[in-house]
Amino acid sequence: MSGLTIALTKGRLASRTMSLLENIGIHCEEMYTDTRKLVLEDEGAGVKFFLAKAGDVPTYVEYGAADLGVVGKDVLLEEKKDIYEVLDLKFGKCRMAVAGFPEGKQLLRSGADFKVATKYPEIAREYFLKRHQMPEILKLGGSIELAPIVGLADVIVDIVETGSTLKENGLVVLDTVCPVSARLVVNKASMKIRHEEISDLIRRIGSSL
Amino acid sequence: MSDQLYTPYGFRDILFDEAAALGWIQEKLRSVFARFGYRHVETPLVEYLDVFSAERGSVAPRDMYKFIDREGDLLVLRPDMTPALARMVSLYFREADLPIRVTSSGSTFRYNSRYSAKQRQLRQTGIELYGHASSFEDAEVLCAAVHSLKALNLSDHRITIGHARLVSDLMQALKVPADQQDEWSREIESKNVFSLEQKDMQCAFTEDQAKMLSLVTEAGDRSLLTEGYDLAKRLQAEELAKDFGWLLEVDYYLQAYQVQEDVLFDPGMKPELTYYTGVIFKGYVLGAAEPVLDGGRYDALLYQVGSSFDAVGFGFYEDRLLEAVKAQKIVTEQEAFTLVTGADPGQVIRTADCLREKGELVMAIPGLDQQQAEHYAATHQCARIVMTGQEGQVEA
Repeated sequence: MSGLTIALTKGRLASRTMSLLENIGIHCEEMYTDTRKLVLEDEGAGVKFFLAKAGDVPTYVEYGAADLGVVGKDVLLEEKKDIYEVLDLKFGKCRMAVAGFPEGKQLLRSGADFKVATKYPEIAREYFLKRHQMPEILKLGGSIELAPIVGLADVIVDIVETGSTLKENGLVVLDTVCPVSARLVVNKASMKIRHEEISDLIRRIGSSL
Repeated sequence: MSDQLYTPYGFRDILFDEAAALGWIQEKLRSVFARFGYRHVETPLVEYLDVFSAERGSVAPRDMYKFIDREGDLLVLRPDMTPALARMVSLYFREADLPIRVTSSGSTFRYNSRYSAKQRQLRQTGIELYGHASSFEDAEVLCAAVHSLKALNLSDHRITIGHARLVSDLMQALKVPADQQDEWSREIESKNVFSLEQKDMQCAFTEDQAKMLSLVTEAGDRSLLTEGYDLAKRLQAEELAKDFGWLLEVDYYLQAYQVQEDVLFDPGMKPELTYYTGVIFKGYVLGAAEPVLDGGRYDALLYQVGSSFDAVGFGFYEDRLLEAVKAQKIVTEQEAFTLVTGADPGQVIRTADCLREKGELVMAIPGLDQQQAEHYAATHQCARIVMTGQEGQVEA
């Protein structure tokens, strides 16, 4: 039987995940070198790793290219893949929020038509649908805060960590959609076929949190 | 080449090697099912829409291929084998004929893309056992599923078993408000322990209630079921205890079949289709991203079509088995052809006929030289070349 494969989200989540895994005896020195290898390995523990873009991690896990993955709740809510979400890793904490100029609060309540800019069209659509609103949703690739400032959209739905970018640009949080943090996700078939190994790993990670 | 024609979206051609592997899979499954006493039947590809109407609990009506015939009746391309087979047995059999074991193969059609990445034609082979609801029957069907996976030489496989009513009985026992039940069952199904812990805190559950809620997100063997049964009894949740009790009985028979290593009980499983009333199960195999088999007990479905039979059954998704067979590099039987060639067409025909008589699989192509013949043989599954009009034969 081959070892388990874990998909990590590139960036800060990856280094936080690695230090979490080191706590339970899974190491990967190569991760800290400037290697060009795409798939890295802890041969002793029989675990392979690869780094992927956040939005792609759920896809790798759903199709079983990785048995497990670490990814933000925001991505899970947006991608809606058929995978198990087994642990809140409690890091990468922030929140999904609706933000805009202070007068946006009136607008959200007024029932008037408005435009929303976001990287998360699915989350935005669901949030407003629950409030029986169907604004026009514009999907952007980044720098979402720019949209209300230049008049592209009335409000935005985006991740807010400290809120300093918003503040500097005269924007405020109008409502919180949901809290966000890193989650451990598992491929459904792997969870069944390799139940013992994976439950053991989840237990060890869970108790080290 | 602008006037080339392609297959419609969601449908595909299957060429030689894949078709041979698919045939091999079907043959293996059929021989296992025959060993358990299941007899082959066929139902038409087209049925009246009524057979699959919403109250039957099959595939959602909007996911079906529907059309109208000349008489003005609404027809569907069957989206699911089970209701069609239920229609058939209720038409031809009586109580005295029970138990009845049938196996059937064929394609089903669904618009729903969730069932497979893009495919809308799903090839299925499965069995149905019509009788009187019993855990003995459930275990037999499950055992046939395990034996099938073994007959295909697939390694790393597991069948997970749950109960269609368990999660809703649990929510009854925990008094979850009706409007929140969907969300709860989704989170139980996706094993989202974290979110359930939060709900536990909000609802101020007792220790036993909280234990029960975390138990259904786990998967395990007999001991998990016993624990669930005891907890349900302590919570005075009789229906829930009955569900665990039934699964314990199934496990008892699975032990007699000695297949308990190949199964895993997953109490939080959600029924794929709403006609399931008892045991439900799915089969997973390394190399296939989605479950390769899907089945369960569906006692109420036959009452709806005027029969008092209870039933349990499952279907293998052949395309997903094929995916796993390819991923695990399982050796399937492949034909080996003999290429017969030579300058004289008459002699080619005589030689080819003679070999066919002996049972060889022959491709006859006159006029190839040695080099052409070798090239053709290498690319067309020919293990042997016979050059007529020459001394001896050439082995490829």
